[in-house]
Amino acid sequence: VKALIVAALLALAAPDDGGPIPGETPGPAPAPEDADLRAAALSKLLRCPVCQGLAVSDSTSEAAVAFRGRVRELVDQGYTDRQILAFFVDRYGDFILLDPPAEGLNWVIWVGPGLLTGTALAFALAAAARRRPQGQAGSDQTGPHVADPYEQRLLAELDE
Amino acid sequence: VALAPEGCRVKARVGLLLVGLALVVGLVALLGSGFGKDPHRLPSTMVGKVAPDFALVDLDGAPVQLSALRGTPVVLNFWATWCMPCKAEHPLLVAAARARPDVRFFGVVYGDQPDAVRRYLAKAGTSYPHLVDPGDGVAVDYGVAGVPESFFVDRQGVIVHKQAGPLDAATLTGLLARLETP
Repeated sequence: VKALIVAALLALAAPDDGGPIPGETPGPAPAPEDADLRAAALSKLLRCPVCQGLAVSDSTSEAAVAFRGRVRELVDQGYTDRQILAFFVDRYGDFILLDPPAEGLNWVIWVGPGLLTGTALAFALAAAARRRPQGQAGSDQTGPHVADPYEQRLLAELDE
Repeated sequence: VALAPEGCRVKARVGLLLVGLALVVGLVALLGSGFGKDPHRLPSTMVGKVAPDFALVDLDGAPVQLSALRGTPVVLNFWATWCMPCKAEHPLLVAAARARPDVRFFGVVYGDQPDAVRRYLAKAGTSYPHLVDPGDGVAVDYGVAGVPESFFVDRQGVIVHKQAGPLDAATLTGLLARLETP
């Protein structure tokens, strides 16, 4: 009964959720060595908000130190990587992820460069293919076409 | 007869040129729209949300819990003594806190030593408590990227505005007016 009363009092004391990430429940706490690795990996995915294109793991700024501290805290409390990244996105927006999520207008960033390179390559190949038969038109169909007389002689001598 | 394929080829080439031109213009426009914007000015993802609760201690050791202040508008000013714009806006906040006793003002010390803050406040003066935030944990909870940043929390505990960068007198007066609920 005492435990029930204590639980009820605790529930009343924390009417929202009490946890550091609202609406998310943490899992079991990870082993310390796993937590080290996970915290380090997460710090590489987060952007230091006061730096120029640096990850939180690569900065000694006040903000980066605070970020690393909070990441470690959340890892130790049993939150998943996804929950922790969502925690930061919730507060700082997608900007805080070094890799923007592949959704909405962001698809342009992910697909654009490959698409452009592919298209350019296709055009270049098409242009090269178009040029070759043009040059060969009117010449004999056997062997490669060589226009330069010096080159022709060279090839003929090499054949001997 | 011989002109027909040639005309087709010219048309195709002009079309290709137009597509390329459109791509370049689009890309320049996209990059140009971001040019001149401060990349550190983050979207205010916290506006409209319930202000994250905290339990901190002020420089005199008095505990402050945000959720206990529900029903009173709150202004949270994240600042540091090493931050020049913070010092510039400090007198403004001191005067505003005196003029608006119905609003609770708090300074939240960001990346600074309590002793340095005490020394500065002894000289500059203050009219509201300053909270010590160990490890800048509360700053991360609020999405603070740099100082100064000020959050305006209404009576319901909802963040109505986040000011990134220093406040000026007119902006502060306008924001405080928004905290008044009918």
